Amino acid sequence: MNRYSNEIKVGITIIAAILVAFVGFRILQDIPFFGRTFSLHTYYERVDGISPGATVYMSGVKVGSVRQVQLVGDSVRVDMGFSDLEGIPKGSLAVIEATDLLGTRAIVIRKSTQPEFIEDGGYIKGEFDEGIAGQFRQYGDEIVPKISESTEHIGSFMAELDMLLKDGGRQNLDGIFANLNRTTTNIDRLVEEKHSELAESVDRFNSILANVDTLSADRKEQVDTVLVNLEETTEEMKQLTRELNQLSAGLNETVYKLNHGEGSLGRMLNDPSLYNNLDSLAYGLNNAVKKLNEDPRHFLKHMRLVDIF
Amino acid sequence: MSKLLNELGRYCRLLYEALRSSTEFSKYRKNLINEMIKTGYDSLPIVILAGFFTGAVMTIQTAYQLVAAFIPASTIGAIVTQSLLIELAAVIPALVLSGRVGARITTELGTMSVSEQIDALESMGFNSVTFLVMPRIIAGVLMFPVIYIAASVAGIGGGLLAGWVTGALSVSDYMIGSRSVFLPWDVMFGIVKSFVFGFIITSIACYKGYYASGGAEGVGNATTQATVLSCIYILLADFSLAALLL
Repeated sequence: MNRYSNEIKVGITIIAAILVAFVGFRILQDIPFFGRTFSLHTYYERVDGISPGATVYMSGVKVGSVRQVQLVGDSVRVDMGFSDLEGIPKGSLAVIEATDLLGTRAIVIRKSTQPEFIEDGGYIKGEFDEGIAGQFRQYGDEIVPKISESTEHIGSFMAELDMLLKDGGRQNLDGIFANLNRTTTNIDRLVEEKHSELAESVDRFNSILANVDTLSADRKEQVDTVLVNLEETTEEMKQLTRELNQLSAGLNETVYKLNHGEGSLGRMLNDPSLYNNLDSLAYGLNNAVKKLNEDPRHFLKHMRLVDIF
Repeated sequence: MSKLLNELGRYCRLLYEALRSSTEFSKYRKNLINEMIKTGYDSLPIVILAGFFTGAVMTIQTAYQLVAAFIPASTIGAIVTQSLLIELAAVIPALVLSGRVGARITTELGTMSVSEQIDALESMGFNSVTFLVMPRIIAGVLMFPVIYIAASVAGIGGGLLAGWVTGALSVSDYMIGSRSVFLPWDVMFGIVKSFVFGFIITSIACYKGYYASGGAEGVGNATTQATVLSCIYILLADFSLAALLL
């Protein structure tokens, strides 16, 4: 009937099925058929989202996959297989990170700079990165009321804007825009009309600048001396200011002393007795002059005419 | 009710007879190889075709359904591969073969029964159950895992090809998705299922054929019943296994 007996056909079918299953298994478990492979293990407190077959990245490149995840006591042991890679430097970290917003996770190897590699089957330190979702979980309670508040604000703002636009605000806005349009047109026209004058002005300004330029070039020495003089003057001014400062400090001191009744001047200013004396003296003198006017003889009665002249 | 119990009793007795005589291997070795060829080897093309298109259609339809922007394309590969491995690659070939294999076995045995060939075998000293039923059941149990493997590989390949041809997702996305959900247990589950389905199809077909009576019409009825019952029990077993093992 056929070149091959039925026995051989059956045998070939079964062996082929086993082979295909084996190859498929290796492919789906991401274990290459050739090339150097090695494995590492690590421990995590939790491995949400990591299961056998999960990808292991290093510098954004897929370098291996998770082989096995087992619960060992309180922690979770994760075995990773690597292929086509020289090795993982000692001191590297295996971080569980979210690869998208949905929380799909992968293990990311953070390379250290050490030259030696971790040996086959060795241990690599593991960390769990909560990612954006975790942060949301953490801060969600705080954020949510704020968000709803903001949304309310936005809502009322929109409503107000709506009202503004509905209740004739629309016409006002239109008017504003029309005015703006007219203004810009006017400016446009003005610029066009005065274009030649503007150009002239710019030309003149340019020539003035050129003149200044030549002037400064021609009179360089003079300008230099002026500058030197200015510098000297400034220096002197500085000196003067210093002295003035000192003076004002002295004056301050003096005024302070005056105010506080130190020294004779101070005492004179602050002690009213001198004034009282002077006052009573002036009063006495006043009386004396009065008397003299009224009755000069009173003072002159003892004087003889001869004595006066 | 008593009819149902009667049926069950006869079915179990047939199986018991078959098992009791399973040591007489040399007597049915040639028959067994023949049955394995007919059940497994000859069924491979239709099974591979069914698996291939199952995978391809699943990929395209999943891609059509998953349009949300934040679901990565690799999810399609994951869904297709896992569905194939734990369910479709076992059930769809089983349903297809309940027609192809089951109907053939029932018709063969039924014809032998109504034309009294089984009685002739018995009178010649052959144990008819050993000679006719046992090889068919063993062939079914042995070849269905092979069929499952062929269907799942064809299905995953079909999905990959369909995704790539239609541009629904790239080959690497598909593989990333497939790998992310692949568990060796899924394959074990599928193989367990295919063992059970192989047993259900062949044993029911043998039972219905062996006890067929009433001429050509009786054979036709037996064949119809065998096919329908096989489908029903496959679905029931599928459910039970999923509930028990997953």
